[in-house]
Amino acid sequence: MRYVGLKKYIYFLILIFVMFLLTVFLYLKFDQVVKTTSKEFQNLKIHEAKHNALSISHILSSWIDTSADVLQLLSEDETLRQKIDDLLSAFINDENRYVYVIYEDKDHNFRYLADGSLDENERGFFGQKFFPLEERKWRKAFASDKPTIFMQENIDNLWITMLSPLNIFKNIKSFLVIDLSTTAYQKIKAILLKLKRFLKYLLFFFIVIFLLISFLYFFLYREYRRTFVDSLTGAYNRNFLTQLEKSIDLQKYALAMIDLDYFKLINDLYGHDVGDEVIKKIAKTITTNIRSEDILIRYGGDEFLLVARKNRSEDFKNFFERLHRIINETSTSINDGDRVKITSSIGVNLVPYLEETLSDAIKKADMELYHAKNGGRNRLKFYEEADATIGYLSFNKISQLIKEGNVVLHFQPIFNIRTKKIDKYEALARLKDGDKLYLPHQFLLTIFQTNVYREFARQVLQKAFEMIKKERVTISINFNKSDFADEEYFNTIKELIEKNRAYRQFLVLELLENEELKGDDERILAKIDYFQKSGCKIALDDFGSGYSNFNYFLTMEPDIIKLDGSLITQLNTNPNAKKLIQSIVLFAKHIGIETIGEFVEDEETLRMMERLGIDGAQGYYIGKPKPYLQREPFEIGRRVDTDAA
Amino acid sequence: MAVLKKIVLLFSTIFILVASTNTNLIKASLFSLIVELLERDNPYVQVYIDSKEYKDIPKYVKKYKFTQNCLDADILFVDKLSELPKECIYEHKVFVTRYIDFIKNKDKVIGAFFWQKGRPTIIFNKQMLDYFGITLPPKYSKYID
Repeated sequence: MRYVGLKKYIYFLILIFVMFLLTVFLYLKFDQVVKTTSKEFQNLKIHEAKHNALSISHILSSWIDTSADVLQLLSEDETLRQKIDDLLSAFINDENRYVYVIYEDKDHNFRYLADGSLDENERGFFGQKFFPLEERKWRKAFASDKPTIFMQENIDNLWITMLSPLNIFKNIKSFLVIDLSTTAYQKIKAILLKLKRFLKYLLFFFIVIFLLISFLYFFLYREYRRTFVDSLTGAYNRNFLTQLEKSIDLQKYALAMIDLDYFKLINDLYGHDVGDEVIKKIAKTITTNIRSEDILIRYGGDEFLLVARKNRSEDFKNFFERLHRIINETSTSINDGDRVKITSSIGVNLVPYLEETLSDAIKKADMELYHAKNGGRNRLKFYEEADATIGYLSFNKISQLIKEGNVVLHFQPIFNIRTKKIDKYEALARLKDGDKLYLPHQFLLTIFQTNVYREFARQVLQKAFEMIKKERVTISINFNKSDFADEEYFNTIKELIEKNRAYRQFLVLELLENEELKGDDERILAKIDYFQKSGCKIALDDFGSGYSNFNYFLTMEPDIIKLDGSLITQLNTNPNAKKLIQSIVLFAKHIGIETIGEFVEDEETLRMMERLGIDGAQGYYIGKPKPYLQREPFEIGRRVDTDAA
Repeated sequence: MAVLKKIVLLFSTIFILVASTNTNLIKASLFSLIVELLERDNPYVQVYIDSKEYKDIPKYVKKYKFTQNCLDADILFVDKLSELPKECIYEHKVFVTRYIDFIKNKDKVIGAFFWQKGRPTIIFNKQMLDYFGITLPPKYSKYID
């Protein structure tokens, strides 16, 4: 299943998830960041303290005779003590909370030498004993005579204590002590905590976004399935084509229209439940035998469109042949334990990239399906590059030509064998593009059942009536029976016929025998009946082949039947063909229907037709279709014009 | 945001309470140590406190009797020695809470107990210890000045 349009949400979800993980990682690692930052800050402060100690040492060296007994000196000189205290005070700020000098007496007691504390209660007096909390560390520092730093965890508002040796006094070991307050550290920590809080909000944000997108995806997915997936088969439905049209690269695919032969019979014989089961089973069979990148669409009731990706190891034709075989071998069990098998007809467009749009490419596959069905069903037909060179027109091109009024009619004469006169013509439509003329098979299927098709039919009928008005001759026009299932089409034809009511007795609606009448037969037959009653004549084309059968005479009364060309061409060679024609002619005469034989290509056939009592003859022996009306008198046979279209 | 602020405030209050409780416990334990060292053989010690710093000690120390009358007290902790009746000074073991009071009144006070630079400081006055015939265990001799 391809979720065209939904993929971007999945990508977005993945992106959000990755960002979420990244944020979680950062969040978890944040304590490390705080530690590192603290360490850096600590290093900075140590450096600063060393610098301060050095400065103080220099100043003290300049004030005190370092070779003298400093304790003696200070105990006697209060002014000097005050001066040193003031000096230390100068180093006190928000960060350096306490700055003082401690010395170790001969009994290893720590005592204040000087203290810069401004608060009287915090200030240590010269000679006052000092009791550090972590005495061991202090002893170690004094023993090592090296700068020492340690964190203060048990003293409120103090962060770090830094001890820097003052190696200036003789006989006593003294250290400049700076107690750093937590203020600066708290400031940094506050900033870091803000950042951490921001990360927390970001995490929350990602979770919310992730959930929202997940919900959105879920609802879209549900809606997507409702809109684009066929509930019976699980394949896509036709709505999906609009999505596919936007994204498909026709270079990479082949299209196959798959139609189940005589599926209507299954519904009629076993009921719709069994019909549904058959459809489901076939869809499952196809899905099992295609790849995940192939797309199966339920195109109609019993029609599937397979959009198959090309990059497969198997030859494409082999693949479709195998698929055709597998479909035909698929059986569905029905209630009483019996199994139903159904054959399929498949039209494959191997070169969809030659078309401008997916719809055009589908039409080509549909056209091949039409040929497959017309050729007797249960077969595969391929539309290949060679077919494309025949000159099929694109939908847009056809549409443009028709809009510009390039529909032209050629007229093939129908010879009345009895009167030896041309008394009818079959109008055959062509599309003109400059000097080129396109035959119906090059464009008709492409526009079938579209607005363009209706416009085409309107122009054909219009031009036929123009000729009738001008020449007062009977002209037949071909119609598909199913054309009249389309109300709009029917109304277009009806309107034109009404408009030309004075000439409608010259119009013959020739119903092609290329399709079987299905569900809405009665509706179609009623419309045909309407035209007949309004004065038009009805002819059945290709009678004796395809779907034509005598059953039609139970529901409609055609004025003319045109005997199928395949029977006429065998008239002199196949006795059964002759017998069949004899019986059709006999029956037709019995109920007053005119008969016309098609594909008359030689005199011998014409003579035989005359002997059998066939009323009319049409074929190259009589005359090829021409853009004008061919008139007698002419000698039959000599009219064969080899350069005709 | 209001809820968030309340939560932050609640946590801050709890933190401060816990922190202050911790400081008070340290004070209480050092206070007990001082009393123990000075009144080792007296099971009925009475203590007088007139100090802002140590006014909450009775909440944490239950083994001694706290008295409002300095005359009844065996040990006194006072912020201002000058405000203490003279009859309470002599023959009583007085502890002050500032170093300056300690060094200026070495003939009156037996020691000082105060906080300086965030560190607790206990100093005993050798002269008064001798006067009262008190000998501190050797490990506390460094606190004698």
